[in-house]
Amino acid sequence: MMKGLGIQHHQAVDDNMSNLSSASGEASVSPNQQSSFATPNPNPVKKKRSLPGNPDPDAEVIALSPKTLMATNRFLCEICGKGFQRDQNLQLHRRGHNLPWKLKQRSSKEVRKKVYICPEVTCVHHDPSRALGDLTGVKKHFCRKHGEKKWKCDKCSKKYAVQSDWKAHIKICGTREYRCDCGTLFSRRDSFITHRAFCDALAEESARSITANTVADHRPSLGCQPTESHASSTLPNISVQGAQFPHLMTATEASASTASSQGLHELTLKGEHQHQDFNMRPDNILPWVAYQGPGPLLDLPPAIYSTRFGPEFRNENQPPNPPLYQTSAATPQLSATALLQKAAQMGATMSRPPNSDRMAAHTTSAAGFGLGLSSHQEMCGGGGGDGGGGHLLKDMMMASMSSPPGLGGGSFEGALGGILGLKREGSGVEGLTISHGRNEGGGGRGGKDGMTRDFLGLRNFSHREILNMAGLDPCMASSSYEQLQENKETWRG
Amino acid sequence: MDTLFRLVSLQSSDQQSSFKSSRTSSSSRSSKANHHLFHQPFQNREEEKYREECGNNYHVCVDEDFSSSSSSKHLQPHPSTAATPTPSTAATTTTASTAHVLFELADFSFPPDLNIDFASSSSAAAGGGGGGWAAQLLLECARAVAARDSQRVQQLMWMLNELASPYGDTEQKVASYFLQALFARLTSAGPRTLLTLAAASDRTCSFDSTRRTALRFQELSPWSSFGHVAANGAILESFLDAAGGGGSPQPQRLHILDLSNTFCTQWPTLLEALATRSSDDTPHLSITTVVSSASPSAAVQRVMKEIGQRMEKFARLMGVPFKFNVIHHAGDLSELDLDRLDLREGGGALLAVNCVNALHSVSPAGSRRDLFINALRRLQPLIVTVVEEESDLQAASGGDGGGEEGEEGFLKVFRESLRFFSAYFDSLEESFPRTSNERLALERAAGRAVVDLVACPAAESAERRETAAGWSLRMRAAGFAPAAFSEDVADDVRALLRRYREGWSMRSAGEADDPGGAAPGIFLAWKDQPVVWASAWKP
Repeated sequence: MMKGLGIQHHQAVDDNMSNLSSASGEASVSPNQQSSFATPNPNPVKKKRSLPGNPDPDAEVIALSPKTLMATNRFLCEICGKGFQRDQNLQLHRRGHNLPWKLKQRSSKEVRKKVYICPEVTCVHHDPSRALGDLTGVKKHFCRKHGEKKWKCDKCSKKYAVQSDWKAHIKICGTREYRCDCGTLFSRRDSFITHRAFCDALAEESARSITANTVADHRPSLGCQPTESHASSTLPNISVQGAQFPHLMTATEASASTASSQGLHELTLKGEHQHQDFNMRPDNILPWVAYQGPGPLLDLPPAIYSTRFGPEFRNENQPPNPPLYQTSAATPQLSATALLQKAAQMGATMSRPPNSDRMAAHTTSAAGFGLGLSSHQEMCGGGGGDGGGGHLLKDMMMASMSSPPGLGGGSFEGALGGILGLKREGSGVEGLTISHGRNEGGGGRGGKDGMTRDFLGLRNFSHREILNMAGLDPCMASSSYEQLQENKETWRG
Repeated sequence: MDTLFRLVSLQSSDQQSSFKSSRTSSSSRSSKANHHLFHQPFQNREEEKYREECGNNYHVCVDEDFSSSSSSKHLQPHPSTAATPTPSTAATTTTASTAHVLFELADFSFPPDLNIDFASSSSAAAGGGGGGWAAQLLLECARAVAARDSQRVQQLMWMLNELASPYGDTEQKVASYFLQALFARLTSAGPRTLLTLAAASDRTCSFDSTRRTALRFQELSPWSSFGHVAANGAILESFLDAAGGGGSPQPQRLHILDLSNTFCTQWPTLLEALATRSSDDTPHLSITTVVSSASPSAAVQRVMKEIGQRMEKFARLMGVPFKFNVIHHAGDLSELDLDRLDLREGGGALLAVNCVNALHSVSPAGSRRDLFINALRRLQPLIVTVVEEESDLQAASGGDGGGEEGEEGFLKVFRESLRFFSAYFDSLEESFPRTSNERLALERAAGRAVVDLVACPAAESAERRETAAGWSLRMRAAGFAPAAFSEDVADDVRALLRRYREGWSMRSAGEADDPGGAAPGIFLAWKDQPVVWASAWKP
């Protein structure tokens, strides 16, 4: 669509060629780190889950030397000179230049899966049993963990080994605000950390929520809600869940929500018509972001975002159906695996729009469902308070499950892309950069504009009303969806 | 303050003529005021103590101060700041006349031979740092004290007392705290004053107030966080180096002997860094914090207990296996039996020693400082981080400074204290809002240090800072070698400073124009004056 964004978009596609497009940004979070965070929590299941690299035992293990691994230019683009390690990637890239392109068809269906080990002998991923399932993934892993961090942020002097991590960081450095439970806002992480250690809010926190927090991510282990002045993040969303809905959050659910945010990442990166748009303007802040007080209100924006749809909806002028997503928010008791399975079933019942034939696998929508879980909980919490949240959640799920599926589920799948194949290095959520479909100036929305504008006044609506709009009334929901699009944001972890 | 200075200068230069004319015109009025004024110094000191003892709510005190002590208030150069309570109308309306009275009085009270040479004192002050009226009058007063010129001392102290206020601008604050110290010296009441002040601050000391002050200080000024970032960086790097190689099967243990006065505000970021660094094994961390004071206070013990609980909770949250010990040590730090502390945890732990403002709290008498540093050396630590405020407050430079200092020594220490604390107060002035209780608490603490420096025997002093060069000499003599901060750590410090207001900078000790020159480490500078020095040492 927009030309200037083409390159970024294609980079995204490029990344997505691998299932292991680990989130960029400040995502130098290793699985080990996660497990170290999990130390206070004796739950072994969670620990196990966070270890990436559990390849198919039948897969072919490939060991590349660091040099081969880091070679970037085997396949060069004749236009921009960008190098690719795989021809397939180059072909996809060529598409962006409007050059003829051709993807190889798989010669046979029995191609043996390949897994890659890290060339660093001291690394856990050097062991074939912990090999990573993807070349790009192992490359980024090698860079992040064993490479020189040569990309430095001028503002905060944080260093990155992977340029894309650094780029993603640059875009958000200094825009993030950290809010302590006590209501104090911090612009700097270290101030926040120190404050957090001394704050009474920490002293009062229950061990339960700490447990939940430590699972989701390393940052939530602070029990914090890093809010951003411009962009809301998926991460605080997760962490807040832990803190505020401990009764809903078991360890596995926290895992699920971690997965879901990864899925979210996929979702936006894979949406073909979406661009990266980092030019956040203050007036793009969601109204309820701007005025939210401490407490559950804070959770709402990510929740709303998470009901966002792929742009296909817009283009087809179909009313999106957020309840579908919320439907997928399975009951909290379900394990992550069960969630994924359930989601896969549901995805299979959905119709697929014709233009969503990319890498979408039915199963991938699972991540979206996981996401729905998190957002749904939040919305319940945000609107209705604590105790009733769970029931409300179930009620809504029932209601929305009975609503007709097939409203563009496929496009949402299309946006999601091969989640199940995910073998992520690290939790990676922290810095993930997620673009939203740009629709300012994308005049295709015609008749909906008036409605959209109305909904900019959402700040005055109660959260229950928002909830209703988003979840219960299809017509309203579509409008609130537009509202979201209007306020497209960069997702930051 | 400019206005005031001009008035004072004017008065001194026109001294001869104005002296005579005013003497005749205002003798009746001034005699009355004279009586009043010469009692005020003492009365004010009493008031101050009273305030410190009873006042949690300094706003109330400020109000009182502004309405009651009008003569100094309306000389305040910035009377219109929003935060300042409005002076009483009476004070406002009588501003002109009172000022008139004040200077008539000043004229009257100066004998003809009292020629305050502001030109020379300002050049002296330039060497000593502060060029404001407070520094000049205080230096003048200190010289008179050294010369035992009681009449002149009296006159200058009277004048200072008129102008000083702990709630005024920087000049007034500096004047107030140094005047308090000079007064204590004159009455040989240094140690007693110190005890009184310490008891007063102890009474208002709570975990809450301590936390608020320490965190606010960190948030608004890099004064303490500068050392924290540098020291944490050095500790973490040396630990990772030592524990690195990846060969060891089990996570390492790190023990930090924490000799600092910053209430553990240094540690959360270190805990976080240990937890989030990208390596497999989070080490076990133990921190042994030594709280050393001449007179142990129950309040401080309560505070430290609370802090310990927070640290433990936070470490649990961060997933860092953690142990926290507090050692309350009564007496000089050099008398602490380091071997009694189980710093090696049975042999497995790597030891780091963190000295933040700790070395200068060791008495300069005898060779206690060297002995103490030698004791640290015997611990065979992985690294010793030394953060000290950069000021040469050794009475006899080069020597141990323990002996009875002469008048020259007194003047030298006074001048240097004045320079150093003026910079400190100035940085506080520009970092904090005008009416901030935390700032007042910090200033009071500085005021106690000033009393210690000006009015107490050096041998009993816990405030005798040395320069980076001086400390480096001692560290080297004890067998330590400097460990340079890595570029990463320097970057962290630079990034830290960027978030504070202008005026702060970092410079490596090599390029700083301090006479010693050979000191390693880095300086935090406020308006180009090095104020804090951070360094790291290895055996």
